[in-house]
This record gives sequence, C-alpha cells and structure tokens, in this order.
Amino acid sequence: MKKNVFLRDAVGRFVRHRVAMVSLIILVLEILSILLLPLILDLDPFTSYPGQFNQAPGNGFLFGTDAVGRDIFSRIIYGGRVSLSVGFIAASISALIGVPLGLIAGFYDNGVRGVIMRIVDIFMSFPALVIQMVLVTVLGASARSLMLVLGFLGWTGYTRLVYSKVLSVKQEVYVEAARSTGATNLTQMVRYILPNAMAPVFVTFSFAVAGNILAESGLSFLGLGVQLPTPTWGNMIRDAQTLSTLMYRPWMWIPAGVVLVVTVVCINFVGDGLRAALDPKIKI
Amino acid sequence: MSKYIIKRILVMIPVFFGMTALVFFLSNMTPGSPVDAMITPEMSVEDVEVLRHRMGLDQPVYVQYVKWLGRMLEGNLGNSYRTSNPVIKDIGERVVPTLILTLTVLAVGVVVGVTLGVLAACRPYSIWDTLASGLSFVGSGMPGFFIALLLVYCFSVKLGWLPTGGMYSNAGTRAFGDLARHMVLPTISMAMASAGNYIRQTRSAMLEVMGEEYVKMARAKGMREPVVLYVHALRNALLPIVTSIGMSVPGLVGGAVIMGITMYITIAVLFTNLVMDLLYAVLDPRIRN
Repeated sequence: MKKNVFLRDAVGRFVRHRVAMVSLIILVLEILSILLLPLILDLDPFTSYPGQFNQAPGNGFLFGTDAVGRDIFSRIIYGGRVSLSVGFIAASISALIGVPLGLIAGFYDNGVRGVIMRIVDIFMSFPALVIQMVLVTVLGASARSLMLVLGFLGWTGYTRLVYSKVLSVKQEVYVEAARSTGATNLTQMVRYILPNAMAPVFVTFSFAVAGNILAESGLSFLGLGVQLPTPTWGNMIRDAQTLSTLMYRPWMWIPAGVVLVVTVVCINFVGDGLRAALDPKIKI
Repeated sequence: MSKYIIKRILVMIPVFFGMTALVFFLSNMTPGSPVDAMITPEMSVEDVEVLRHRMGLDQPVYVQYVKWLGRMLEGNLGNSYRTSNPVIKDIGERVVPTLILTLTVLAVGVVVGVTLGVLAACRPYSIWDTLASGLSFVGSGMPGFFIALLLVYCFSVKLGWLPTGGMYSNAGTRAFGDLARHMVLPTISMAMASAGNYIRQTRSAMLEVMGEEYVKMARAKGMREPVVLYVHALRNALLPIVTSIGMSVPGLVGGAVIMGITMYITIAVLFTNLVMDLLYAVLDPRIRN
C-alpha cells in the first residue's frame, strides 16, 4: 500500500513540473512518429531519386533531398530509430553492469568493495573520447559496436550512485529485521535494499540516454559511428562538413540537428522532472 | 598533509600503467598495421619483413609496450607513421593553439556558469532561477559540433561578421585582435555545454550550503547578504565545483588532440586529479585526515 502512495505522490510531483511534462509529451509524440510513420506513409530513406539531387524542401519532399537524391524527411525518421535505440540500449547495458556492482560494493564491507571502487576510479579517469574512438575502430564502426562501447564504458555513474545509496539503505530497520529473520545476503540485497535504492537510477538512466545519443551523433559526425547509407542524425549533420552544403543547402543538416537538440534537451528535462518526482526533499 | 599527498601519488601509479597499457594494446588490435600502408607493389615479402623488423612490429606486443613506455618517459614519442616527423614535434605545434582555446573556453564557462549559478541560487524559484536553470539544460544538451556549424552559418556565412575558420587572417601577421575574432565562435560553441554544467552544479551546491548552520550563524551575526553569499556560502560550495572543473580539464585538452599523446592525456588526467584532491584538502580541512 505504502508503495502506491509514494508512486501517486511521485506522479503528482512530475505532472506539476511543467517543463518536464511538456518535454515528455514532445518525446512521446516523437517516438510514436518514429515508430508509426513508416507504417502509414511510404517512407524510403535509401533510394536515390534520379534527377532529384540537392532539391530544396517542397515538390513532394517535405525537407528536400540530399546530395545523392535521398528523401531527407525519411532519413530523419529512420535516423531517429538508430539514434534512439543506441541511446536506450547503451544506457541499459551500463545499468545492467553498474547497478549490481554498486549493490555488491555497498553491501559487502570488505576487499570486494575496494576492488570494485578502484575499478570505477580507473574507468572514470579514462579520457572517454579517446577510448571510444579506439574501441569503435577495433570493433568496426556500426550502431551495434556503438551500443557496446558506450554501454561498457558508461556504467561507473550507476555504480557510484547505487553504492552510496546502499550504504544508507542497509542501515534501515527493515533490512535489519530481514537479517534477523534469517534472510540470506542475496535476499537482503535484491528484495529489501535494491528496490529502495533504485529511485536515483531512473534519473541517471534518462541522463545517460541523452548523453549516449549525443556521443553517438558526435562519433557519427566524425565518421567513426554509424556508417552510410544507414542514416543517423549525426551522420546527416556530417553533410555540412562540405562547405557548399553548409553555405547553400541548410535544409540538409539543420533539421537533423534541430531534432537532435530537441530530443536531447527534452530527455534531460524529463530526467530533471523524475529527480524532482522521486526525491521528495526537493520542492518544485 | 604530506602523508595525504604521498598517498594520492601512490594511488596514481597503478592507474597510470593500467591506462597506458589498455590504450596501447587496444591500438595494437586495430586492423591494419602501419606497415600495410607503406607496402608498394614492387616490394618483396622480405622487404616487408625488414620494414616490420625496423619498426619493431615483429616483437611481442608487451615488449613493444615496455619499449614504447621507456621512450615515452624520455620524451621521445617516435616518428609519426604518417608524416614521418617526430611525433613530439607534430604535437608541439598543436599544443599551444589547443591550450589557448581550451583555457579560454574553461575560463568563460566557469565565470558565466558560476555567476549564473549563484544568481539562481540566491533567489530559488524566481524568474532568474528559471532562466538560468533552463539555460543550463539547453546548454548542456547541445551537441557542440552542431552549434558550431549553426554559428558559422549565421555569423560567418549569412552575416559575414566573423571568420569561418583558421587562427589568423593571414599567416604572417599575429595580431591579438585578429586572434580574438577567430576565437569567438569556437569559444561560444564549446563554452555553452560547460557553462550549462557549472550553472547546475553551482546552483545545487549553493542551495545545499545555504541551509547549513554556519550560514544561519553568519546571518544571525548581522552580516550583509553579499558577504554571507560570497565569503561564507560560495567558499564551501566551491568543493563540488572544483571537482567538475578538474574533471573537464583533461577532456578539453584531450578532445582536440587524439592518438600518440594518450600518455600525456593520461598524465594530464592524473595530474588534475591530484591537484583537485589537494584543493579539496585546502578547501575542506576535514579531508586532510
């Protein structure tokens, strides 16, 4: 029962965070159109239409066409599928690694903790961009290797967060009660401590999704991420590295960039709303 | 205090070897070796072997690593596989422009971010707070490469106010005004994200500190609000801000220059970590023990 009350209060707090609500609505609309529009409309991000190179918006192409005559609107929609799935899957991989490690490090008061937290220190002192670039090159530039690389490099935040939360949660009376009734370590961790340490994980998750989308588009922009002809927002903006496209054909790169910025900013606002909703100490 | 410094330095050693080794082995795993790029049709298999031997690429990876590390510590980074210039020279030419830009970006980001963060925190939930917080979210969510293109498109291509690239208008003259004009757009596009982060961090650190007893105490003693804010509150709120400044320094330096100097980036990371830790100790006497 108590959980439901907390949930209801949290939803109430989230709804009252107006910017987060608006962002959530924009995101839902965006995700729905990325998922559903290809089913309704006849979108084709790969076909070059002969004689239709560098077309300005209009004439049957909502956002115009690119240098080889592909429909830019279709590419933005399909690019969104790639960018968003990289963001979500990479953040999930990080959470699946980071949360259990944080739980273990927080629960066991011995050498295990030292080892885990030192590994976290080492991972955090890596220059992220350099390692990402090297790893993506080793694995071969593709959406799949981006998910793996970003996922396996991004878990430290979760570990530190869960670790510090577990330290305080495990002192709670209900954990002591569970221990005194003979609950095993695993039961204590998974049933009693983890659910009470999870709230900030959702906040970190949303910021991680936004960060991964930015990292994906940055690497794709540099030519190290998702490779053509697969569209992503990052490699569409890459077209603007050609000076004539930058100067005379803004429709080729500005829409993709705007969609990217709107998505990332909205996800960040939703994350902020979640933080306000899940942490009752912060008043809106 | 000195015990603390020694402990910090000792911790750096394994991290240093771990990082350099990882990067070295990873770059060895990248498909294709530098020799492949030099092979010409008229070379025999033996010629290729000689070349591999001369470059030391026929030895086991760990031997290459140890040798590389040794040379590196002497300041000899070897020759670039691509330009054949000594790597240290190739890096040297790029270090100064990188540092000029990096430090400007850092300074602008910190000054703008901390000022707005303090402003936001003195009147929480006011219009200033909303504006500053909104700006921080938008700023830190911006992909720098897109903002840079957008700024170039607006201010260089459309309005023609600022140059599209380069460091000086012509290589001969090195006027400061000219340099400053070339730095405006790169600085804005890079400082936006960092200012955004500093706003958020300063705001939350200040809000936290403002609830502390010593701030109440300072107010109760009848101190003027600016003194309370800047002397009592800000100094204590600086701790987490120093952390994030420190964490951004190697990123800013490393973001611009990539391979071969990994080791120097590593040193930069470790060094800033050390400086940060020492600064903590200066700011917060409790850490010293």
